[in-house]
Amino acid sequence: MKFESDCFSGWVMDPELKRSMEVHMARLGETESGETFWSLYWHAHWRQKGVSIARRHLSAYLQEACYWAAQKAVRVLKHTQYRVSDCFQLASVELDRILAGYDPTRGASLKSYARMAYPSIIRDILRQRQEADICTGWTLLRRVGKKRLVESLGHTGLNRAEISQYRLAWECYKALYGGGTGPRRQQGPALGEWEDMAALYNQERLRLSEPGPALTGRRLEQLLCQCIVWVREYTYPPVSSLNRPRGSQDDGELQDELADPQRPGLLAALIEQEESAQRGEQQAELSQVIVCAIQELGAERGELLRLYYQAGLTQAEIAQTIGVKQYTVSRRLSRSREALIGALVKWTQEKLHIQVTPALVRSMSESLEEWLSIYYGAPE
Amino acid sequence: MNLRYADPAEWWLEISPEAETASWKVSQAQASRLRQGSYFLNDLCLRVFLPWFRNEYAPSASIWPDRGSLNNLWEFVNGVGVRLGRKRLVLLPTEDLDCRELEAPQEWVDIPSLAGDYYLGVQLNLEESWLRVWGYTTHEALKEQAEYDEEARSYCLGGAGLSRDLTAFWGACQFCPDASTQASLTALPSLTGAAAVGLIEKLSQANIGFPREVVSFERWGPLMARADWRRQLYKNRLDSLERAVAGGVEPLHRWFETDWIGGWRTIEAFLGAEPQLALTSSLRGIAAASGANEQRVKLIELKGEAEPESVVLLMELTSEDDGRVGVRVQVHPPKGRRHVPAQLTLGIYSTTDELLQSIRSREQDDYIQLPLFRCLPGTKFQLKVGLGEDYFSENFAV
Repeated sequence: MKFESDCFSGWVMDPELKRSMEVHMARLGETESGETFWSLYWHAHWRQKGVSIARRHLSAYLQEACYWAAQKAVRVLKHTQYRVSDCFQLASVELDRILAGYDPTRGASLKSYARMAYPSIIRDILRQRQEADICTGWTLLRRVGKKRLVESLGHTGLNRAEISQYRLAWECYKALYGGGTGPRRQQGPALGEWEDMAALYNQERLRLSEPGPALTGRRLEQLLCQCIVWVREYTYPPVSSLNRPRGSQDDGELQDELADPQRPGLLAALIEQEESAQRGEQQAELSQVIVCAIQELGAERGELLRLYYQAGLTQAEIAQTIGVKQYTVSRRLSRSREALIGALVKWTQEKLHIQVTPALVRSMSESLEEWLSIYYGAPE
Repeated sequence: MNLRYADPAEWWLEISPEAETASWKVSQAQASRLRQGSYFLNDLCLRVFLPWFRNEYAPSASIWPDRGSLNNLWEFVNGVGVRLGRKRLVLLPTEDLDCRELEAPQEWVDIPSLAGDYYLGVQLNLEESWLRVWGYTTHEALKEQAEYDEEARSYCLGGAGLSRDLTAFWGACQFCPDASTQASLTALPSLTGAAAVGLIEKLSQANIGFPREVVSFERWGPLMARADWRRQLYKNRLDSLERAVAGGVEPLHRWFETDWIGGWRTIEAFLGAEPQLALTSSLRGIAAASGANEQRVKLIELKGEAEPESVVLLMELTSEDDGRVGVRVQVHPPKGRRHVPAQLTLGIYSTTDELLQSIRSREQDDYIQLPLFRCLPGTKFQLKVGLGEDYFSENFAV
């Protein structure tokens, strides 16, 4: 995807991907298949072996969804700090999260799943970045989370033993210094507290497979300060540096590891595709159910839904607009959604006579989200 | 509370200042020092979530297993249990900014009496006073799809098995209350009463910071599975940690390793901190001449006949060739005095209060000292300095 003055300006064809598609199409003897087939094909291969060419196909396929999500995020959240291309970059990095979260058996296509998932991921990333920006280093260290910490440490090239040592130091920091509330927690520990942490660390490190040297309070402070720097650099890098590829990615050669595609699995997917035509009718009826349910919510709740899905206001803005607390907006929107799902479930039980399982409820809820966006005609 | 990024599929709750204060108070009373922060988060999560949940969704929801059990468990591990009809919810509170994965401690997954049905991720933001329930998963999904972190002994789940849609969670609770949510549970290895007692004894030691990481889960799990053993371990740990703090056991081995300060200072630091108590000539001479490995001093005050008497305690540690540690104790007068107060006693006692060595000062002693006392690392003893009725004592561990 090409950007020009922060707008979509055109598609750039990736010649390798084109060649790869031609090879695979030839191998399968398929000359025409819908995008549904191919999206499922590549997703199945990605899931199976994490094959890099599959990932690249999927990445290209989902770029459009990613772009729209980025555009919407900037428009709705009115960020002055991040532009559309920034959000696009931030979201593209999370492709694996989208792919891992997609379950073909739930019925939605990969594209529509991505269209729902990208905005929520972007929102989550922006939320985190905002919170991280206003954190002091010491607060950030306390709130960074184990997974991020370990990734940041790994990224700097520390070996496993060293990472374990840093991690233990971090646990000691959190145990002795993190608790409770108040401004004290933002300032950073005093020397006496560093001494205590060092004592705990020196005692506990003997359990590690490679204990490493004992630390003084001052030294421990230095090491954790360094941790904070690494965490900020890796976890919340300045957006421009995201253009550099992260992690190990094969590049160049076509991966010919793809053996026979799993025929039965794909066949089932194709059959589902057929059945979806029948589902089209049921969908119209479903829409009617939802519309009725919305009306039953009443004018007030209906207005909230409209403000959120149509006007695209954030919950904070809605609160300001109608003059209630933000917490109240959150409650009412959640309750409205729950009521709608309730109506859908009842209809499903009465009309379709199928058993309602948690998985079904979950995919209903996902579809509801998509439906609401379309119904309220959010401008794209 | 800023709901700029809020999604209707999440549950956002306000944290009142009263709730924070109450939870902080409780955590200070109930938890050991290392676990206070964690206890606080868990208690606050329970205090804020349960009344709200009863009010908004399920009036019959209740604490699980029971308040006492949670009290004991929070000394070791994160997790708040809530019963909802036939289902058990395990809330996992954290302050982490990053909600990419849900981390469930093994205790709440593999111990049959503690295994839950649904696991809910709860993020607390204390700076802005809110709490949000951001995602959920099932026991089944955890067992099938989560990654097991060996160091933290927890199951970590991201990806498709973790849903961020609380609407779907409530829908499942409402409309599928009997859905299968738990993977099959395997019984834990058995632990005899005697073995449990031994394990509790071992893990109660004050010098163990994180007991759950000391023994394998094969032994820890069965211990945590029973309410009475949990309670016993909790009690013992709190007792022994309290004793360690109150008794002020000075860990002498640290004097060799680090710039450990504590109440005993190096001579340089002592001079720096209390310049008015410059060393007497005797102390200076001895400090210079002995060439011992570590010397520390401490100023103490005792009630004399007429007025308080200050004396300087000097302790020297020498590491001997045969692996033992040599300990020498001396008492010196402070600046401005030439002699140690008369009838001052200095003694070393074993942990069973048996007098090992002692000495009494005469009328005009420049200083008094005990003979060099050699012992193995790990030995514990008590030092006592007495004057008339008053005395000072301190415990040491070599």
